[in-house]
Amino acid sequence: MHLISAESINKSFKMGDAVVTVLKDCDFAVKAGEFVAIEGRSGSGKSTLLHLLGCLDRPEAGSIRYDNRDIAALGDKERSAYRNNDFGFVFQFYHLLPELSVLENTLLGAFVKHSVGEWLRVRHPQREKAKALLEQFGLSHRLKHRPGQLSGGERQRVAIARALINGPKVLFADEPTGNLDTETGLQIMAVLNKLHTQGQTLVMVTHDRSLAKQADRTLLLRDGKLVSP
Amino acid sequence: MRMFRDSFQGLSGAVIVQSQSLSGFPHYDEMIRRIEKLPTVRVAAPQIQTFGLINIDNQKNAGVQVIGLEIDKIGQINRFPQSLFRQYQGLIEAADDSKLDLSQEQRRSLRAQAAENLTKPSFALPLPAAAYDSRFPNRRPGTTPPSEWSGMIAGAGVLNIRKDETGKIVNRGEFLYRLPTRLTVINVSDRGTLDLTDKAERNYWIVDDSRTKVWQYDSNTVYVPFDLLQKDLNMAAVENSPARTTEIHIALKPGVKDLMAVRDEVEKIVAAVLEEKGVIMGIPPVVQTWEQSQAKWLGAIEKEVALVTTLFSMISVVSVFLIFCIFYMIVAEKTKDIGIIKSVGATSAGVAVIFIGYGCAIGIAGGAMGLALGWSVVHNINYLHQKMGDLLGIQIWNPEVYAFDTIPNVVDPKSAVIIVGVAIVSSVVGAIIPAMHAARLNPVDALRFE
Repeated sequence: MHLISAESINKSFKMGDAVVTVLKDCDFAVKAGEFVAIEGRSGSGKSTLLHLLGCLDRPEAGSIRYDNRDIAALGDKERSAYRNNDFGFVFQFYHLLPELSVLENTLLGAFVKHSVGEWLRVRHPQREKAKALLEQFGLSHRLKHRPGQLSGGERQRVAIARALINGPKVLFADEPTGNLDTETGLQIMAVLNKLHTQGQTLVMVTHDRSLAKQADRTLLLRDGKLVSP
Repeated sequence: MRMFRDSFQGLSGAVIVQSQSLSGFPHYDEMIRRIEKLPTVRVAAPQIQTFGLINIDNQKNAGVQVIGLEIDKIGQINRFPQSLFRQYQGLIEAADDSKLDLSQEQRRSLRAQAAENLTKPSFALPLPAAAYDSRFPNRRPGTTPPSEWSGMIAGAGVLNIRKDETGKIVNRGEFLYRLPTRLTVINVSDRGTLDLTDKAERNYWIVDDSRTKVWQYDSNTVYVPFDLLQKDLNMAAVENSPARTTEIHIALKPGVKDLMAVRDEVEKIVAAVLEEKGVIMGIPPVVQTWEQSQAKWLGAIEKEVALVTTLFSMISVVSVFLIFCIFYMIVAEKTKDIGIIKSVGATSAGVAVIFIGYGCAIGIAGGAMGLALGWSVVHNINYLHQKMGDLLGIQIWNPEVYAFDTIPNVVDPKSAVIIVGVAIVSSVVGAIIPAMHAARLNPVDALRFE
C-alpha cells in the first residue's frame, strides 16, 4: 500500500517565450516508512516533483494521491492543512525566519496549526516538544539564538526540527546537504537516517549519488520521467 | 464649533424678537405678557441694542455697542451673569486659588456668594457712597450726587483688560470700579428719524467687567440698565407714544427642543399685537431662533469646519496611500518569509489576515498614540500658547480673527472616537491590497524570491 503516489503528472514552466516541460507523464510512489532518493541533474525537475508531491505546487495534469484523495485537486485550505500536518519540508537553503529564535522557528508549524485561543492553551506542551526535538539534534544550547548566529549544519538541523514539529507522515528533503561541506553534510544525513530508522517516511532529492545510495530506493529523473538508475 | 454655539447661545435668548431699525418697536410689554403665557416659555425680557460714545474718566473715548438689559431677569434668559468678573468669575477664582490664605469656610462663602450673584446680578455700586462723592468734592449744587449715578458693566476689552502675549490677564484692578464714565447716545424717534443734535448724556460708574469670551462682545460692548437707556433714547412711554424696545429675548422651559415651533407662535403673537394696536411698520420686527440670529457667524464657522474636515479627509486618503505603499514594500521584502510560512501550512487567508491584522494593529496603536498626543495638546493648548508667548514673545491666536479670546480646548469624545475609527479603517484599507497580493503568492515562487 503506497502512502503517497503520483500518476502521469505534468509540469512545465515558461522561460521567456519558450515553454520548458520538466515533468512529462511522470509516475511516483512511496510506501510508509520508506526512504526514497530522487537523483537527477541540475534543472531536471527534482525539486519541482518534490513541490508537487508536498502540495507546494499543482501539476498541470495527472493526479497525486495521498490519504485516498487526489490532493492535487484540493482547495488551498485543505492543501495547506496537509502541508501543516502530514508533510514536512527541509530545503537546501534552510529557509528559517531570520527574526525568530531557534525555538520560535521550530515552533512555526505548530503556531500556524492552532488558532490564537488554542495556542494559548497548547503553547507550553508545544514548547516542550520543540525543546525535546532540538535537544535530540544537539541544539538545546542554541534555543534563543537567531539563525544568523548558527553554522550551516546547525541551521539545517533547526529546519529538520521545524519540519518534524507536527509529526509529519512524509518528510521531503530538497538537497538537504547541498549547501553544506562534506563533513556537515554527512552529519545531516546521519540525522535523516536516524529518523528513517525510527519509521519516518523520507523523500529526498539530491544530485549526489553517494548520498542517494543511503536511501532504500533510488530513482533517476531523466527527460521528465522517473526511471531506475 | 460646539464652543462657538455654546458661547453665542449663552449671550441671547433661545428665541429673539428683533427690530430691524434702531427706533425699535412698540407694545413690547403686551407681547411679553402674551409670550410668557405660552406653555413652552419660561421668561421673556426686553433688551435694547444701540450705539454710543463712551468717555471713561476723561482718559478714553470710544464708540461702543450699548446694550440695555433688565438685570434681574437676565440670569433666567442667558449665561451673561457668568461672564461678570467681580460678581462671579473673580469670586470663583479666589475660592479656587490655593495661593490665597483663605479658610475652607471662606472659600465656601465665596462660592455661595458667586452662586447667589448668578441669579441676582446687579448694577449696584460696590463701594460706599463716600468713595464716589469724594471724587467730585466741588460738584455744582443741584446736580445728581455721584453716589447716585447708575452702575455700568463694561466689556473687558472696553476697559483694556486683555491677555498679554504670555496669556495673563492684565490691566484689571480695583481702580476700575472707581472710574466715572459718561455715555452719550443719540435719540431715535418712533418715526425712525435721527437727530444728531438730540443726544443724551448720562454718568455711570463701572461696577463690573464682562468677559463672555466672544471677542465681538467683549471688545466694544457696555451694558446699562434697560429703563435708563430706554429713557435716554426717547424710547420710554410718553403721551400718545408707547414705550419701545429693539429686542425681546425669550428663554424656554427645560426640555423644549423645537425652537422653530416656539418661534412660529411668538411670530403670531407679535403680528397680532401690532395689528390689534393698529401699528403699521414698514419693516416689522423679525422673530428668529438664536441660531438664525447668529447664522452669519455660525455659517462661517460651519464652512471652516467643513473645510478642515475636507482637508483631513484628503490627509486620510494620502495616509491610506502611504500605508498601501509601505505595506507593499513590506510584502515585497518579506516575500521569502511568506513562502516559508506557507510551506509550513499557512493558508492564503491566514497570510492575508496577518497583514490585515498588522494594518489594524498599526491603526489601533497609531490612533491611540494620536488620541493621547492630540488630547494632551488640545487640553493644554492655552498653556502651550502661553509658554510659546513666554519663550518667543509671539501671540499666534488672535482673538479678533477667531472670535474667542482663548483657544477652544475641549475634546469632543464622539469626534475623537470617529477620528480613531477612521485611523484604524484607513490602516486596514491601506493594507488590504498588499495583503491580498501576499495571500496570492505561490509558495514555490516566494521561496525562490531573491
